[in-house]
Amino acid sequence: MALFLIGLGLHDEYGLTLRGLELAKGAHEIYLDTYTNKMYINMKNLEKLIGKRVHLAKRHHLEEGIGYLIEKARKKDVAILIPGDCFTATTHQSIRVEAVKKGVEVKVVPGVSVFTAAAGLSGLQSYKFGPPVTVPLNVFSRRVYDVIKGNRERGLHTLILLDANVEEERYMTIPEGLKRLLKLEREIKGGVINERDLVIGLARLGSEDADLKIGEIRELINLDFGPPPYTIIYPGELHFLEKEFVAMYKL
Amino acid sequence: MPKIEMESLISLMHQKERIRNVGIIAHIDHGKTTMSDSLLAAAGILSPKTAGQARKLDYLEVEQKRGITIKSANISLLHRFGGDRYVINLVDTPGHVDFTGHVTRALRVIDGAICVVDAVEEVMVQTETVTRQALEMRVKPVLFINKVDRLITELRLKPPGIQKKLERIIRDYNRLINIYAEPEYRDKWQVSFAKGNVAFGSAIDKWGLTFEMAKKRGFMFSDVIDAYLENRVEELQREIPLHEAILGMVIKNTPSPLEAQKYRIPALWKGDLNSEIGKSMVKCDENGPLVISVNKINIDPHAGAVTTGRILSGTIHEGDEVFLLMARSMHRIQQVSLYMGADREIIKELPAGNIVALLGLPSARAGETIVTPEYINFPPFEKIKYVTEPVVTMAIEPKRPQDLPKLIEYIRKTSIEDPNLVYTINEETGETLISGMGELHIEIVINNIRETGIEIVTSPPVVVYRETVRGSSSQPVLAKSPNKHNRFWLVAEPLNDETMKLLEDGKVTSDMPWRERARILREEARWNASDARNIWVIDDYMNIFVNRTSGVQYLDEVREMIISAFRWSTKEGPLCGEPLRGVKIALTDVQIHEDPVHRGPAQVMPAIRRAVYGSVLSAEPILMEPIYKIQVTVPTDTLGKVIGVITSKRGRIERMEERQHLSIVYGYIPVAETIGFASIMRKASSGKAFWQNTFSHWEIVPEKLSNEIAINIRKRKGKKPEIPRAEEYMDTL
Repeated sequence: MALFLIGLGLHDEYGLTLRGLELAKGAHEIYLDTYTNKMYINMKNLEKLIGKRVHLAKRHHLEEGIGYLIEKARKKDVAILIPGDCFTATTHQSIRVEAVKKGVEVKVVPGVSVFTAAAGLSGLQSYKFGPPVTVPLNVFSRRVYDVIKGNRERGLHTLILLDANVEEERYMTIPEGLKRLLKLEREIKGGVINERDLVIGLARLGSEDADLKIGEIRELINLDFGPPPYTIIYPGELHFLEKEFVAMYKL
Repeated sequence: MPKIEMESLISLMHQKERIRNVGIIAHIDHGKTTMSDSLLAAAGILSPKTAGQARKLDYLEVEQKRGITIKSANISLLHRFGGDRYVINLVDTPGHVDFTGHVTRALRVIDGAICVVDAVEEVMVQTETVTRQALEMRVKPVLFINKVDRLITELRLKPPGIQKKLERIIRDYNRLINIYAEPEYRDKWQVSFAKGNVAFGSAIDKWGLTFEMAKKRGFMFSDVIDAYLENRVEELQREIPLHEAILGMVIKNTPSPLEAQKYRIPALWKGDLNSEIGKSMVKCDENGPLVISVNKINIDPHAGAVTTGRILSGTIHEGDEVFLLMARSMHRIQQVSLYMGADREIIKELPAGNIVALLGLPSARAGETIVTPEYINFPPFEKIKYVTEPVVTMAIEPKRPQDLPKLIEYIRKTSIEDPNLVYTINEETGETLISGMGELHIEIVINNIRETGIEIVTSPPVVVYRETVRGSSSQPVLAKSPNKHNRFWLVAEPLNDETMKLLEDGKVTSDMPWRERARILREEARWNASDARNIWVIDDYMNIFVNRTSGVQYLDEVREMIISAFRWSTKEGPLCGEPLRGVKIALTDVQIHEDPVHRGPAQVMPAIRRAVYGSVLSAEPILMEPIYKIQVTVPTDTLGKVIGVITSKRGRIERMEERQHLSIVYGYIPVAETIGFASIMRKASSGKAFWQNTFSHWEIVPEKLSNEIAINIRKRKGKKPEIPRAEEYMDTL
């Protein structure tokens, strides 16, 4: 018996890989992580595809309550479907560590992640990204500023994830995220962020109506990107191919 | 008040050497309110006939029934002395110990205190308490020995006996001044009849005598005795009226604001005395920046919140914009007035040195400091220290659920007026807990609620406990955040006695400059330099959080969350959900996630709470209980039974005194043992014992009782009865 950690990919149930789908079909109990990011899943369809009942798991089920699922996985195959890739944005690595420590087998199916999709769609090369960072909803943190600064000093791009509180339906939008960056610059005065800097705004990656806008901060700060989720890329130095792509899509 | 008097009053408000701000302090039933009324009567506010009976300052019916005063009110009186007119601002302070918070607050705005002592009962425990409080705040006392008539008519003492008694009172009182006054004032403030700062008389019969009056009028004490024996008391009222004795004594022996602010501001205010505002306060300068120290808020049925305070600097005008330092908010003054008994007289402006009543400050609370908006960074007056703490709690619930909003509104209002009343509302059940200074304090609040027509159900009173630790956690306790990406290691240690004393005295606070705090803790409480420097917060229950880590990146971004979690945990400890007290929690190590989204409040707060609980439970936790200082007066023949009651209630006797046929027993008794104590005591003493309880201190509960009490509290609160083990709150790597 084992615990299956299955990447759900992007946007909706069709983000699931065939490998993930096949493994899920074989599980005795299936849980869906509902808090990591906004997904547009049709539960009926997902259950039809897998052919089994899918339980909704809230944050506390997978944090404080994870021991319970791990214990279950001793006797049954338990699958957890996780938006994006299992170990990328929300680092579910802790679940894996705990299960392994307790001697429970873990099987992993990687999923498509915003980390690759955002880079690719923006015409930027994965080779040139520095560490990513999140802009949180409730907390004012300078981490995003420090990360952009460090990446830019090395000519690297920065992937900025915008916080999503799915349970309360609250999302940090691209304009809000950009405003936060400008505010940090006003407070820290490190000369890192300028409203004329080029940034890339992305919404609903993986869906047919995914949105991509490239422009200066002062331009994007006034735009509406439609429904969540959202991501920003703060480019570093551009390779000539990147430059060509950006020029094609720039506002 | 006649127009002419009003005008001269207003003009006097500008002559600071003609102002006296004083209060009356006394042991319960020693005659404070009666005296206030006689003074009021003299000022033409009450008719002289009823002054001894009406007790105008006792607004509340309960007070009348119980014969004690609950709320402070302020009065301005006009008095002619030595050919000059003076204005005396009289702050009435309550006499019952359950309300000593009010007393303390009133003491900040007065420079002198008339201490009333009953000639029969002499200096009592509360005389000591209020005198100590006054002296600690550099309020200069004068002494009025009241109820001298009873020495003559009831005790039938002869002149030598009377003289002996009066001398003993004066000697005992001077002993208090010797013990509690700062060295500088110990000799200067001694009282004696010859110095003129002692008067004796009878407030109920409205006469009083000072040395000066006796000399000037050739009045002898034997004349007083004769007047009583020959039924000519009215003559005394004419020849040596009480108000002349008291007001004369006050004018001559207590300082004007001009004089008092010079030495009191440095004691009451910790800011820079050489700053513009500091100098202005020391000088009591009416042209300086505005500073008002608020001592009381009353809810007036028509006007709303009435804010009363002392103007220490500047002049307040109707329409002024002012800033409240505690509330951090800006307001416009709607009305300026001064007190006349329960009434207020509206005036346009009032200068420094006076007591003022203001309208238009809805967010002001007792203890607030009001300043001109340019001084929003003015260092506030030190927090008022309360010598008492809420130790008894009662649960109340409306009989009709629809009354709940009305009940909450009433309690909210009451707690604005009476900051010693603490309440919490359980949003889910509608159950409201009110905590106060003692059973009586709470009973009065409950009576007041019932009188508004709200029917309520009450629980029996329960005693408030504290949780503390006797040892230190043997090793740092690890707690992980729910997502397991953050780790915190904490230890719990007891705060030493020196530290607790500094906290109780308000010498070490959370918001004082940290260098100063570190120095005091090092020098006076044996703290090591690094802990003393790294205090993050001191909570309201006297627990301290210390950071022992260094150089942790982004720790400052979770600092506020850690502090909130610490406060959240100390409010309800792990033993039985009572607040922690005297615990030092130190953060010894920490690992936090780089990305802020993985170290938000939902991750940090539960982890800190777990670690606080785990560390407290692994440091020999135990309960602390509140202890009353008790004083029982009893006929000597029933003394044995009274001592028996006290010792059977886990009490201990400290000392005993004998006065004529009465014995006075001083001792300590756990508050828990005094619930329902009244009937047992009455029975044992056949109703002859009179006793007084004052909160004294917290004490560790006997080991064998601690668990049992904790389990009962857990049951009452609907928790599982077993006390949790430390391991339940510890994570492993």
